[in-house]
Amino acid sequence: MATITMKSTSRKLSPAAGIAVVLGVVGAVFLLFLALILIQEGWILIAEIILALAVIYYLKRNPHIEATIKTQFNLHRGVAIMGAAVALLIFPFTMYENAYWLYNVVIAGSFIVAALGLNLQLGSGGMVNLAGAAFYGVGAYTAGLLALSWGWPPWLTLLCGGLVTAISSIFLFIPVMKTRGHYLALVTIAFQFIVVILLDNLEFTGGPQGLKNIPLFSLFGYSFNTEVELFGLTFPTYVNFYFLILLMSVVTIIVANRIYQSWVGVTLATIRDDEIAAKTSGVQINKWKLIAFSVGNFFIGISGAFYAHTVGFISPPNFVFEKSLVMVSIVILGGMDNVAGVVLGAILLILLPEKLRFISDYRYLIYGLVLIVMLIFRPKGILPFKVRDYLGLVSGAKLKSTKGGAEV
Amino acid sequence: MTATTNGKKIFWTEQLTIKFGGLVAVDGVDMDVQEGEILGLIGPNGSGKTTIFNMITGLYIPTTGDFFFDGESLLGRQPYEIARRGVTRTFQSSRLCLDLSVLDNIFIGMHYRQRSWLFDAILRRGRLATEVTQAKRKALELLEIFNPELVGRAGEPAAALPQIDRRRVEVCRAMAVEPRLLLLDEPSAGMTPEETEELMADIKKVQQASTGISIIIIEHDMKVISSITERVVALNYGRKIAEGTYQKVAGTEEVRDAYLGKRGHHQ
Repeated sequence: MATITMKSTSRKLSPAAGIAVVLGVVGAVFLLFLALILIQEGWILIAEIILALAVIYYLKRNPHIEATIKTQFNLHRGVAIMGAAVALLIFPFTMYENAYWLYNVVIAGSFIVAALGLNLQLGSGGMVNLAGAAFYGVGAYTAGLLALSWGWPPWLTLLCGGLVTAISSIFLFIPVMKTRGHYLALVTIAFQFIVVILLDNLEFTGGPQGLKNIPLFSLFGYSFNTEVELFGLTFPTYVNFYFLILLMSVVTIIVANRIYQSWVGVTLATIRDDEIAAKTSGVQINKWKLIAFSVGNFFIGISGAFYAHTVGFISPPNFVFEKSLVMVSIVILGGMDNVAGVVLGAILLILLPEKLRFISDYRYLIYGLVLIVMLIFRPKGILPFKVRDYLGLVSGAKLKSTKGGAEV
Repeated sequence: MTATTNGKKIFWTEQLTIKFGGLVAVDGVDMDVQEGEILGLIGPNGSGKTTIFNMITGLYIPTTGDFFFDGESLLGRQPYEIARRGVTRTFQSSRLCLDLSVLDNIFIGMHYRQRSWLFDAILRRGRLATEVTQAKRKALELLEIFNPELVGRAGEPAAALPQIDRRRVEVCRAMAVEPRLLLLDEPSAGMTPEETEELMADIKKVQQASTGISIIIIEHDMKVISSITERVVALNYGRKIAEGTYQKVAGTEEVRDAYLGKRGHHQ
C-alpha cells in the first residue's frame, strides 16, 4: 500500500561522517550566534539574516540534504546534545568584556522559562493569557517582599514566587470558568492593569519606587554578585546568573516537553481544538484549563522571582502590558505548542531589539515589521506544531511507520 | 434484521422538551432504546433530531422532561459525566482535531480511564509509557475493525485523511470511550452512496465486535435506515409522529406528509 507519503530519502553516511555533520551544524549555529553578539556593528545582523534566508532557500531546493541532516540528528541525538551542552558551557566565558550582552542573554533565559509557562496555556490549551507580565510581577514582588521583610533565602523565595503566582491565578480563574471563549483574554487584560495600578499605589510594595536592594542569589555563602576569576581573566558577575538560568531553562524545557508528550498534552490540545469534542469524550474541561493555567503561571512566577533576585531592583514599569504582549508574541511567533519553537522565539524576540539598537529610533518599527513579515510567511510560527510521536514512550520509535501491533 | 435485543430498556426519555425562546424545538418526545438495538431517528430538517442528541449528551439542558440511562436519570449532568457513564456520539459535521494525529484523536476517548497525569508525566515516565503502549494497541485494534489501511496511517494528522476515514476515526473516538449507547448523527453526510454503504457495514461490524452496544442513528438516507435499523422513530416539528419498524413507519400517512408535504397544502 502506498499510503505513507514518501519523504525525500536521506543519504546514508558512515557514523563518523554523521557525527561530523551533527557537530558541524551545532558548531556553525553557535559561531553565528557568537558573531551576532560579539560584533557590535549592525551589518552582522543584516548579513546573518541574508545568510539564514539563503540557507532556508537552499534546503528547500535540496530536500535530500535537509533529510540527511535530520536523520543524522535523530541517529546521533546524544552527540548533538553533548555538542550543544559544551557550546552553552563555553558561551559565558566568551563574554568576558561584554557584561551587557551577557545580561541580555540571562534575561532571554528568564523569558524562556516564562514563555514555556505561557505556552502551556496559550499554545497547548488555547487560553489567551494577556497578563503574563502581571503574573511575572506577582512572582517578582512575592520573592522580593519575602526576602526583604522576612529575610528568606532566594532559593526559597524563588519557589514561593512560583507558588503564590499559581495560587493567585486559581482565584482569578474561578470567575472565568463561568464564561466562555475570549472572556479569559478580557479578564486577564483587566487583571494586568489592576496589578500594575496596585503595585503603583500600595504602601508595602513601595509604590512607584518599587523594591530596592533585594538580596541577589547566593550559594553556600558564595554571592552571585562576585566576579568570576578564571585563567587569569575576570568575567562579569552575570556568569553566575547565566549558569543558574541555564539550569532553570533546561529543567523547564524538560518538564514542558514531558507534559507535551503525555496525556496532559493530548487533553489540552483537544480542548484547544474542539471543546465540544473533548466534553463529549469524557473530558472535564474546566479542571484541565485550571491545571494548565496555574501550572503555566507557576513558571511565569518563578521566572519573575528569578528576575527580582538577579537585578535586585523591581518597580511597576517592569511589569506593564507591553511585556505581556512580548510574551504572547514569543509563543505565537516561535510556534504554538512547540517547545523548541518557543525557546527559539524567546531568544529572538528578547535579543533582536537589543541588536537593533544601531538604528535606535526605528528599532521598534523594524521589530514590528519583522513580526508582521514572519506571520505572513510562517503563520504557524517559526517551528509549527508537530504531531506527537511519544518518542521514548512507545517502543518502535516512530508511530508513523507503525504496522502490525493490531494483531495483538 | 438481527435479533440481538433482549428486551431490556437501556435508555428512555420521558416527555423530553426544549424551548429556545418561543420555539419549541423538541416537544414531549417519549422514546426508548433496548439493549443491543439499532434505532433510527428520522424526520425532515429542523425536526429536532440533533437537538435530542444534544440534550442526551448534556450539551443542552431540557426545558422539561427527563431522560434515563441504565435506570438512572441523567438530567442536569455535565457532558463529561454522561460520556463516562457510557453515552457517546459523533457529529454531523466532523469534530476531529485535524492538527492532531489519528492516534491522539482516539486517545482522547480513553482520557478518563488513564491514571498517569501530571506527576507521572514529569517524574514517572515508566508508568505513562505502559499506559501509552496499551492505549495505542487498543486504538489500533479499533482502527483495524474499520479499515486496516488506517492502522498504517495512525501517526498522520487527521487532516491528511479523506472524508470517509475521518468519519471512521470519529466513530473510533466515540467507541474508545467504551460506550453502551452510541449516537451517530448523520454519519453518511457528504459521502457517496458507495462510501455510505461501506460505513454502514463498518457500523454493523462495530456492533458485533462490542456485544450489547445500542445505537441511535440519525439518517436522511432511507436505504440506510431500512437496512440497518430494527426500529424507527419519526419526528416532525419536534414531535414524535410515528414509531415502529421502518416498513410500518414509512407507510404512515403523517410520515409521508412530513417528507412530501401534506396533500392539499403547499409548503
